[in-house]
Amino acid sequence: MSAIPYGDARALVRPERRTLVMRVALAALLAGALAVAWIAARPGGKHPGLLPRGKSPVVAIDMSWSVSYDNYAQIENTLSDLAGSGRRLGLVLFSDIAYEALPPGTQASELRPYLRFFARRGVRNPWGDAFSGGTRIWSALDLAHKMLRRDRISNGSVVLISDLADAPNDRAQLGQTLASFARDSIPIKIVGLDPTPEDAGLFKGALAHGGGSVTTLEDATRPARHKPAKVTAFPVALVVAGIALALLLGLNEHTLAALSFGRRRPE
Amino acid sequence: MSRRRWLLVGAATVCVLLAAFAAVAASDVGEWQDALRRGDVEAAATDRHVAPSWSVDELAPSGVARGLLGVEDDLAFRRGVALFRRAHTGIPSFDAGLEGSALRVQAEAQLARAIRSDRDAKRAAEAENLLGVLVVLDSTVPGGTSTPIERAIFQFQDAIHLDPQIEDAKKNLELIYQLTAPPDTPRGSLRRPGRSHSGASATSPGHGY
Repeated sequence: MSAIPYGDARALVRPERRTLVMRVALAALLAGALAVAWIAARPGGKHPGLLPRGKSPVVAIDMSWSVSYDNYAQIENTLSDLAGSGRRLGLVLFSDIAYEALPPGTQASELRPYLRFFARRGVRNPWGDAFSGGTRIWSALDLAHKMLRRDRISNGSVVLISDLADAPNDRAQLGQTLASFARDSIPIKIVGLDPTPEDAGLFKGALAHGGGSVTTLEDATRPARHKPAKVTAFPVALVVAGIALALLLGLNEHTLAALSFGRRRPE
Repeated sequence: MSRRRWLLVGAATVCVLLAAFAAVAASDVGEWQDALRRGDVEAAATDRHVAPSWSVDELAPSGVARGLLGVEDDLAFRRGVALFRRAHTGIPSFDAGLEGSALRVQAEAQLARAIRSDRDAKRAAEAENLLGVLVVLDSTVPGGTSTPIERAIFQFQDAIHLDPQIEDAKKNLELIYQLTAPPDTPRGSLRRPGRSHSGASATSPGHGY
């Protein structure tokens, strides 16, 4: 079907272009607002927050004898998930002394060769002879701090996976080390392997109000069951994105709605 | 409705929303004033086991009132001092025990956080001085792995650098110098039982006749 040519089509070229630009801009803004709303609403990945976002983490794993058989399986699962995270990280293995296994910035997939050492307890490993089996958390934190400083990583963080059964005699050094982390604004995320309430309380108190967090591996890796619902923070980003979406849709309707013609009234 | 009327309705809606938000934020600001007073009273209480809270359940999202008031550094300092008070009892058995050492770890971390966040140099200097006292305690408490007492010198020097008028840090620094000086030196010879502070101090020399 051919249309009847309109004589003044040239006069409508500019308004047509303006409408097209506005349509495209509004579509882009709408898509952006929708994407922001989707990102703000979705839960944080496979292990929400196990590796802090936007930071260059160093993962420190406790290999002391106080870490139980069950915990080895948990460590293996966690390492396996971290290896598949696609992030870059460093690795420290520690007992009474700390050992730099991977420097910061290493691809997380490089963790896979280490998984075999956590398949079960008692598997021989290259550093087993050097470790005496005790726990010195401060030595691991101190080494991780030095690694971040050496590699000039300004936005670093440390993820400590440990049962937190530290030697009470080492608390002076632990205090100094945690103070040095606080001074350099390096957050510490602790993933506790069935820690005692006293040990967990010590670290929770030291990291409270901006120093980091303490969770158990179960909290970090498994969906919460039989737990009271937590009061979550107000979803500001989601609400703002939702309001922006509604306003943009309204603007779209207001400015780009199809022309409507009224019925001709009978004369 | 005409376009002008649409704009007016939109602007009125935005104003109503902003007014509601401002009212909620103002309520939170009032709550913070009460919370600071309440926390200070709790902190001043004689019971050392009570941990003051200085917290408010804010109605406005994202801690707007707290951000507007800028109380983060005040809170960090207060928490540090409260923990110091609980950790430093002067009772040797408590200081050497598990609870005492755990509280010292927490106090040291919190004081370091207060020093980092505080824009008030005098208050940061006070926190440095308290941190130095805890380091001295760490290095002198029996049973622990000794930390070098010289580390405390850096804390006291930092405190004096931040606030040259801080007398407590100067006295503490002088005491540490006396404690660490060899006995055959003038400073070391001043270290006698019953005389905790004597001789030349680290303060500015006085003006006499």
